[in-house]
Amino acid sequence: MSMASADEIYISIKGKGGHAASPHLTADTVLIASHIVISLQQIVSRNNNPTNPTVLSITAINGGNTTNVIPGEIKLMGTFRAMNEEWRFKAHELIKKHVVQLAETMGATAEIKIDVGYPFVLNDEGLYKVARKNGEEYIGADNVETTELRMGAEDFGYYTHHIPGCFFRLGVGNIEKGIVSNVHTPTFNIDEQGIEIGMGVMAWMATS
Amino acid sequence: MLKEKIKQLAKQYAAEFIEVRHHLHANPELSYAEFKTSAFIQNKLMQLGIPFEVKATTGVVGLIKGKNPNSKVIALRADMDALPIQEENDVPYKSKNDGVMHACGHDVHTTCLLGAAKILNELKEEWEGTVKLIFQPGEEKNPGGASLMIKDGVLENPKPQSIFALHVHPVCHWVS
Repeated sequence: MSMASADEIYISIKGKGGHAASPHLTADTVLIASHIVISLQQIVSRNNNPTNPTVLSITAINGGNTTNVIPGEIKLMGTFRAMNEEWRFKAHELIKKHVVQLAETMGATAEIKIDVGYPFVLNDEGLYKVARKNGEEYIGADNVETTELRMGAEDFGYYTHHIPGCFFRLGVGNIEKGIVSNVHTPTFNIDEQGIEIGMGVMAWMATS
Repeated sequence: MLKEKIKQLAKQYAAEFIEVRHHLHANPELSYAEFKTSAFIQNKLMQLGIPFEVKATTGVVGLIKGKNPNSKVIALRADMDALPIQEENDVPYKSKNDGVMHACGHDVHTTCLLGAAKILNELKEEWEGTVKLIFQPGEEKNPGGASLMIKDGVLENPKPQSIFALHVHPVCHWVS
């Protein structure tokens, strides 16, 4: 199973605010921000090779607090995820260009910061085969499955860009026992029978 | 056969390590502040007689040498930080730290690696090479504890040929 790189996007759009009844005397930061949110999806759908997993989500729009004032600033936040380092950094430049130039064209200015986070998890093909074989030997082929790509991120990715790595999952849910909450929720828990398997499988991975 | 011996020991020690998990689960710490967790891990390794180094402030790196220890080096990695979430589970080992919870299973990852360490150490006359145990801080928060551990030399002296990590998977079958 592979996981994505994750970078954080912070945008500030600044323009001359003013009376909402006189937009011609302002640079409408709300409208400009809206254009930017939509335009950024073009990078995912048009610049990216469609076979290459990529997600760009704008997750916050903040600014303004009443009906008749065009605000002087709108702030956006979001996340950019990919599974290819070359495309990842090319996309950063495209994102910055879209934001800065679109804002400028529409009479405002934009500042953008992209905080570079974890690289994608590169599961080594050979090690994946070893891990799968080890898992099948330890708990039986029926109990091993290959999971799908996920666009979540894991800092294990750092190791895998230095040496061959393999990230694998230990099933810990149990529907019959009502252990079904997902990770990152206040009710997440595990079926503790999994611990015996987890510690044994880890030992077995290291010795074979 | 080695696999059967590992299974036997995993079964024998399961209850002990479920208790380890309860302790870690009840005492979660946020990213880069895993001081008690780090001390707990160091103490466990000391009890097992496994040499270790501290890296990136709260990270712990242990080494177990099997037969022909220079023939290969395999790394096993676990993360150890918790999340800023208020636990709602009604269990005896519920988080004692308000607003902090092991909601991503890093308590389980650390437990499984400690359990594997005990098994590997006991069987070290029966497998080849060296196993590097990596307990890392700060998986949940940039810049990522892995990057700090690498800067602090975790992938050198000795350099592992490969690295494995286990992560809990809360559903039996994958749903997206």
